[in-house]
Amino acid sequence: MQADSKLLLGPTRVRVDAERAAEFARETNNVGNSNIAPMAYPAVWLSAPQVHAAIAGACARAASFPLHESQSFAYDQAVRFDADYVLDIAISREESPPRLRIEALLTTVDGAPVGRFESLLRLVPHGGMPS
Amino acid sequence: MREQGATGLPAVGERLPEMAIGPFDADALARYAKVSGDDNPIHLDDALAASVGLAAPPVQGMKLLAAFESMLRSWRKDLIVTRLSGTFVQPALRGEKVTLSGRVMRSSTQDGVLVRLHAHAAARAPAIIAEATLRPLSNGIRT
Repeated sequence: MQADSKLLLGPTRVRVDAERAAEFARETNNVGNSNIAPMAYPAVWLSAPQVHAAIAGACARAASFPLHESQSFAYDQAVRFDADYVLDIAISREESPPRLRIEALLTTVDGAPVGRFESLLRLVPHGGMPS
Repeated sequence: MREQGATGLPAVGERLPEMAIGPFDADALARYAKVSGDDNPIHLDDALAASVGLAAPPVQGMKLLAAFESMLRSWRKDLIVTRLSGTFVQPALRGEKVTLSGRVMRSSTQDGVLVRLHAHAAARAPAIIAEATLRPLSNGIRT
């Protein structure tokens, strides 16, 4: 991916895996909400193979590893266990500072907005931390 | 006793009860990596962490950020979190206890309740500086 270019992934049909969501909740101190996914659960979808491959490719080209710089989740409605959703992802490469911006939009299958998520990954050269 | 305005919303300046999480060991970081799909080796590889000057692998920032949701829910069950965002300022390292804290910065029926959040580990600087917006269940997000 070139600097300032944008890679679009999706639309992809996604669904909460109840067992995985329960485990995600346990590992993030969020037990107790049995039919709604933790608000950070979409992180699971942002680690999907096609997203992972895009991040890995950008890191390899920059001889860097990704360092999670910031993250946001904003919701119009809760993400339920028993529903299908549509996820659209845009990955942008930024040059100064070198980083990847991952923007995701989650909608219902009917197109109603559900959530917006953004991850910023700083690309850190092997052997050094960012200044 | 918590001071509230006439709306029943929390007062600006109210501090949330602190919540301690961790310390997280290597197994905990590995379990989170597995369930989240975040297989960044910096969280699991002591040598890689050392190569960037860290005394131990850092805890996944998302694992810590996500824990704020629990603190916010415990604080006010009549409010629902509609937005959570955070900047990962300083690594919280494996083996360190992390303290989550928060303070109400804005409290409005129209714009919701804005809470500034911090996660502190052993370092003086916060590990995470975050914000959350909460709204009354009656006019929050559809659940």
